[in-house]
Amino acid sequence: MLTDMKLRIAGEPLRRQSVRRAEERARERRMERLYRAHWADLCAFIRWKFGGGPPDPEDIAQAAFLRLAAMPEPEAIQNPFAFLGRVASNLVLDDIRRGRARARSIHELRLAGGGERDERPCCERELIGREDMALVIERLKAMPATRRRVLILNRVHGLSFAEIGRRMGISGPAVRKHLVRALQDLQAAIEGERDGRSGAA
Amino acid sequence: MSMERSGPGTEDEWIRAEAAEWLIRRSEGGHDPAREAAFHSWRLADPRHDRCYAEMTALWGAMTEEEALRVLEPLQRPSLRERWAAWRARRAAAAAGPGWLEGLDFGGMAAALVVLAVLAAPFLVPRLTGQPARPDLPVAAQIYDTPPGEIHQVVLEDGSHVTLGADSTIRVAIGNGRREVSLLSGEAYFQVAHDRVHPFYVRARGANVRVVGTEFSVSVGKATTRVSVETGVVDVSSDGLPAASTRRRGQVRLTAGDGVVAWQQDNGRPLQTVRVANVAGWRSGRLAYQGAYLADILADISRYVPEKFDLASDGIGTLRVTASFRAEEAADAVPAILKGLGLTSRQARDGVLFVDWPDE
Repeated sequence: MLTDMKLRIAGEPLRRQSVRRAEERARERRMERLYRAHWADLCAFIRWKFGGGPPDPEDIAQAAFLRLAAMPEPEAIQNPFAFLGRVASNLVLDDIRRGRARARSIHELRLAGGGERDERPCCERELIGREDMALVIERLKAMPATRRRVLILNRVHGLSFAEIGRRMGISGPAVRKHLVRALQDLQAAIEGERDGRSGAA
Repeated sequence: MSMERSGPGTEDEWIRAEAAEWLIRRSEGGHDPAREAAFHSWRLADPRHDRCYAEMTALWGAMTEEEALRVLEPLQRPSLRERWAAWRARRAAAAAGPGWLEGLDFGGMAAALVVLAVLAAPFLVPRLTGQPARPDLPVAAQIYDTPPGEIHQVVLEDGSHVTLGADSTIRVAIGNGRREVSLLSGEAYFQVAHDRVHPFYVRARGANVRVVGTEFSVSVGKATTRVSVETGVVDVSSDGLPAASTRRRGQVRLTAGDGVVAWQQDNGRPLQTVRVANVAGWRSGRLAYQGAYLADILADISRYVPEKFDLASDGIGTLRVTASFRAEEAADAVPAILKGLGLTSRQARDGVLFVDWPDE
């Protein structure tokens, strides 16, 4: 801001280089503003959406800001928070896929007694594919109403455990217990089907 | 975190339980190095721990995505307990000072009045009576409702029992010498505590009932409202509340085994008396109809299955059907009933079946 004013006061035509430098500084300031406006919210969003990691929510938030900064025209993005949230979600899923591919290649190395490296693309199977989602939905419908309600208030409405407790007239630990059971249940639905498929094959 | 691996359950189940516990516990954040250390040592103790946790992380995130929201949102009907909690909060605010009536909407079904089921009732009662008496105020109505597919028992303050059918709502106003229940939707079976001085009234669309102590059932369908009597004497009127005297115009007196069909749209039409073989068979999970209107049957069925029905014309709704099936077979009964009438159905939009005559 100060630099701009000085330049204007000087009233001289700006040289090319100083124009670029001024643009860079303006860009940095914009990033700084975005960072201040969204950093805490983005970390909280990642933690709400995916839990505490790994990957670490703050690492992901940092990486998402770097992606935003690397955009050719970050100011053209209408809703920076939505962009950051989307990038962060993709980064988390990439990280999980990489971790899984790593674990698998180690496992296969062990099985093959140290054979070739697994060169298959790491993302051949979606983490949560369409079939998985259908199973999840079936399991949701069969879930006890209170548990489903707690899950919906947290996943759809983004309410904290304490808020859910207040709204439903149950204790915070009860909310947590419902969510743990719901998550366990949904994961079991996916794993059960996967084992069934590989068992049948 | 103390989690002992004891009791039934496979190892996979244990891993899932532990992973879910960690995920939920850590998702609230907060700085707790000891917890984090314990988590990472758990995670690294077994590659299956790490894998399960990672997959759950992806699943947990996927639950917030569009695809899940589309499914979750229709399921988000507020629960009884939740609305009860909202009501309790309102009562607390009410006790705090005057002007509280403004917040209450006695007319609207969706209003934040009381909701409770038998589940909530045991711990509700002391709180209800614990409120300071306000004889200057009208009786605060209480709403009781049930989710689709579930039947609940409710004990009213006067000692009457109500069996509330699936996906049904009643509004209860009892106190100051008044006993009045409005059946807003669905069906209810009433076992009314005897009190000759204070008649018990049930208001339903197109049919109002007056009793002093008896057992009867009321169902609000799409086209008609049906009342059937198990024991005792019931007065029904299509227009206004029934009076104590018999032989009032537009009023009929029913005794055990009698039923009445009232048209919701047409109050001028006389009440039609029928014999009922099995009063409120739905209480034992059986839906039975003799010459009933298709619209009413489908309205009943839609309280047990996820689908709703949309009829191409009113004429279709007045087709007569005789059928009997168990509530859990309601979904299978639909195609059979429609086929019997020569009707077809197709998926109109999410969760709605459109019923029509075949194209030719």
